[in-house]
Amino acid sequence: MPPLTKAAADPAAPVTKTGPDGPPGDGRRPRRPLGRHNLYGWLFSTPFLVLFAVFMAFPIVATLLMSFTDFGARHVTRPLEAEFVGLENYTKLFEDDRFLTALFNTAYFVVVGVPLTILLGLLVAILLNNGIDRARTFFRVGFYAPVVTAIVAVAVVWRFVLDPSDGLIAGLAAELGMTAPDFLGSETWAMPSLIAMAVWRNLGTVMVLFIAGLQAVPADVREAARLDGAGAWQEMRRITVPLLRPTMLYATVITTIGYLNVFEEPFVMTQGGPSDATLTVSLDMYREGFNFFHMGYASAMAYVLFVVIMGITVLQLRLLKDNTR
Amino acid sequence: MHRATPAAIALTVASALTLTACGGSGGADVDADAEQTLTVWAMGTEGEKLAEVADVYKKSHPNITVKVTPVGWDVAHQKLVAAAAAGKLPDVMQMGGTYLGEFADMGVLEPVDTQTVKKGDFFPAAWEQASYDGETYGVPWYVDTRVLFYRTDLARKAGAARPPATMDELLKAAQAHQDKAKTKWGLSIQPGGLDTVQSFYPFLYSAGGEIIDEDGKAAVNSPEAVKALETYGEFFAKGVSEKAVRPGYDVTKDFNTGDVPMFFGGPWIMSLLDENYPDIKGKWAVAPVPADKESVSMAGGSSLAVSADSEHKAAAKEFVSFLTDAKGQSDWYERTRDLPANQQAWETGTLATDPKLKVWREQMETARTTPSQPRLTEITSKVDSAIESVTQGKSSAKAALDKAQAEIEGLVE
Amino acid sequence: MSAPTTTARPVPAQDRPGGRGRVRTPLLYTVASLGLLVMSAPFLWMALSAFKTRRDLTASPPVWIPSEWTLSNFTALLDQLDMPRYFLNSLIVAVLVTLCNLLFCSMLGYALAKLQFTGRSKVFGVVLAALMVPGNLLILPLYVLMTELGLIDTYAGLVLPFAAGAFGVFLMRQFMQSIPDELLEAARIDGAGEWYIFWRIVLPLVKPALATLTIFTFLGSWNNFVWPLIATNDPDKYTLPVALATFANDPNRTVGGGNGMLMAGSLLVVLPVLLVFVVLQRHFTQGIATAGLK
Repeated sequence: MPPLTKAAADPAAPVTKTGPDGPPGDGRRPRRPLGRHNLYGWLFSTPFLVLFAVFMAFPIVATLLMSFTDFGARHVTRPLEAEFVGLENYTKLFEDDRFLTALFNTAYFVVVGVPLTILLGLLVAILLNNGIDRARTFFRVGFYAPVVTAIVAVAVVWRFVLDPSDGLIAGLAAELGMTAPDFLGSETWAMPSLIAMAVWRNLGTVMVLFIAGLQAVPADVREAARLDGAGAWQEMRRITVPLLRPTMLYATVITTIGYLNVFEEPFVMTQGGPSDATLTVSLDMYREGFNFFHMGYASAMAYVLFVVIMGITVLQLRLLKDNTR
Repeated sequence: MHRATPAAIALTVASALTLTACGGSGGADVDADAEQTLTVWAMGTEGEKLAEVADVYKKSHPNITVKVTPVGWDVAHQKLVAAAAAGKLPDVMQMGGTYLGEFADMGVLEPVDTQTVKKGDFFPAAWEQASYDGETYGVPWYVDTRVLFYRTDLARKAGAARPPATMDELLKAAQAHQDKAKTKWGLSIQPGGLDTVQSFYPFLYSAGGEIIDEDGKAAVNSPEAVKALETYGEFFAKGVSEKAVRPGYDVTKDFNTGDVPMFFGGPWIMSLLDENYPDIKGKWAVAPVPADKESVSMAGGSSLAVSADSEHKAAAKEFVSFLTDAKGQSDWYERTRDLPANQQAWETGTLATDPKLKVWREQMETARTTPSQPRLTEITSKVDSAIESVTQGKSSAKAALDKAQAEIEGLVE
Repeated sequence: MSAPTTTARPVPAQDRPGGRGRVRTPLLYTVASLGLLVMSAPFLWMALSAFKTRRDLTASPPVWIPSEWTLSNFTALLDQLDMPRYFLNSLIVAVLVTLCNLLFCSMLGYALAKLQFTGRSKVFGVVLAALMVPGNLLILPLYVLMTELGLIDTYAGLVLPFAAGAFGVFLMRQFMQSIPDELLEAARIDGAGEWYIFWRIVLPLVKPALATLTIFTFLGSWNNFVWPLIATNDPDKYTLPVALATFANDPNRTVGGGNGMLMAGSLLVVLPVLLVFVVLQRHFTQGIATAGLK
């Protein structure tokens, strides 16, 4: 068909561009949105927006309102009896030692966990993309396996690894003449252990993202650079990594959001202990909301978390945004 | 972002929630003889075994189909709450002791007719667990309590002629196990984490303490309670019990290997040991909780409650009676090994003759429970923290309990 | 396009005779293999445990290879739970959710990346906001809503809340940003309609992204536990994770080194996702062919 072949025959400029958003080239493109763009823009947005409005907006608003009340267990059947308490839940939060500890723990988790996960995920992706040719599928599946394994199974094995008496690490340490600390029982070691576990669990996801991103980087560009004399390292730094920016952004944002919400690891392994050393905001929220049924309080916690996530995400978007527009 | 005005939102939310709150009520109650389906929610193994009983029930009551939905314990609370919010609770539900106060307070449970269901038939603690604020909302179904499990072979090595009868003897015996029988630990009790309080109850009650007294006031820092916590803490301080907190710890494994010669456990542990560790068959026994002032253990278990919004109340009550009379209770025991709440069921069969079961029965007769409270989970979690701070050596028993008392006072109703 | 592409394709470094591949490659393989071992150990444990007898499961110290292989865990599992039904439920829901996401997320992702329309940044803001709201707390109001709509115990109730995920939209937007505008302009100038452009030009170009989205969405839906748990009361409508949970934490069943039935169940739950992954990860490679289209 005429349009298709013509478009296909004209790929010269596009494939060698250097920015993911593609420069308009000669500025011919009109600045103000076209009518057609407008129509289709909105048309394409409709399914998502409708689903969002019905299934997300309502619950979001409901919980937001709840956060300004003292909604508790007895209000489940008598919701209108819940009293408005204004910002009281929010102020109580910041006087709550437990919550503040949870905030600190979550921050610790994110600050250490996210860079580790992204870095290792990227390295593995590059390794599996460039360095390893044989049995690629095998390796990829292996590295992705932690992501799909049920948390229960993961917990059982990691407990075995970290057990201070019969565990894997304890055994290795004994061989070397040292004693391993009680990882999950120690206030200093519990968090690093959980971080290691989270990194291990999530690096497969990051790896998959980067592999997809790397594949989308045209091979010709890389080869061209190589032939022009760039070493593998340089080629990586100057060409590949910058082209991976959108992927990097996505990976970092979702990993950060995921880690800010960290719940499963502390819930299954330590229940937030020892002595709240691994209590995260999500876990605290779960406890307050589902165990004690302080729904109003827990909702307030959720919105504080939301604000934090929003702040960090916006920051990341600004920093990692591609400016070659 | 576009958002509707706050007033409009508030109106929508309020109306939606109100609509659902009114959802289940109304509708005439169906006669017990009419053709109907009863929905029943039960947790864990009970859920599965109950389906078998439902089939049996159908034979004698052909007009009633009982549909049993098994619900996992760790998700039961969420599901019940969600169902309550939407006005969709089942006709009959299993209510764990700790849940009842909360749901009764929500107003979703139908009070029990105390004319037809007699309090005296059941263990006192079980009846108490099924009551809230002066009314009874559930019929006790099965009970459990905690007694001392111990390795008879290791006890002989440690030089103990009989199981420890007092708390002092318990400590000494535990130490003797470590010294003479070379066991890794003397006694396994929970040092911290979720539900530590369950492990502490035998000590607390035996010393004459309690969390909430008969007048409904917080009493967790009474001198008796402080003494009990001091005793508890000693086991850790002296290295007899393991200090490290281990969520998901399975004590039976260490019991099998001999690392742990004594621990407190519930009735299901017996079947567990029989099934999983045939190697130690005949090498273990149960004994009553060592006495402080007296030997008192905690009572747990579940009742059967009928939903206040049920349209099949008559049939539901009949089914509940079927399960909780002496015959139904003995039958249930045969199926599940759950200890009957109905004392009469203990008069016949293995329940009357088995020596191991005698220990359980005696313990159940004096067992105590915390009065039903809507905020029980929160209250006990404060006590958990207090206990943990003592076992980890961070606080004295008195200081920890004074702190807990202050925290709990506002929560008790 | 610069000169090199008109001549024969250059040979990658590793395949050049006497290239730097010689020393590096074995090292890379060793590192990768070690990494692989560490990464897949728990998975292997789970898989092996599914075939262990109770003896092996409760052995201390823990036993890796079963001393006696048994299928009893699987038979017990199939006896107690109506696995085929739960499997079917999970499959239907996961497939529907994935298909919806593939369509809706790429549509919106494309619009956000390539179509200039008024309010675009606001819509993107809504997407990001959806991304950032902590999910667990929304369960209760959502449940009430679904009850009102009569969607409890229905496939619609399980699918709709997840039919267009913010994560998916964000992902597609990022990938689609790399599509050259000229390509689209050229097509428009030639008279192609927007839907045609989207369907025939854009989508083929983002195959790696679509493959990635499929894997993530399928995985997410397959393993989704909390919502299906609350949204279904009728056991016939349970999905796999929910069915497993009904006995997972039963104190009468969980034993020391791992409940055999639970391991068997977890293994069965995992296999479909891995299958999807194995099949799709090849499409990452196909990306080369399409992205470097001459």
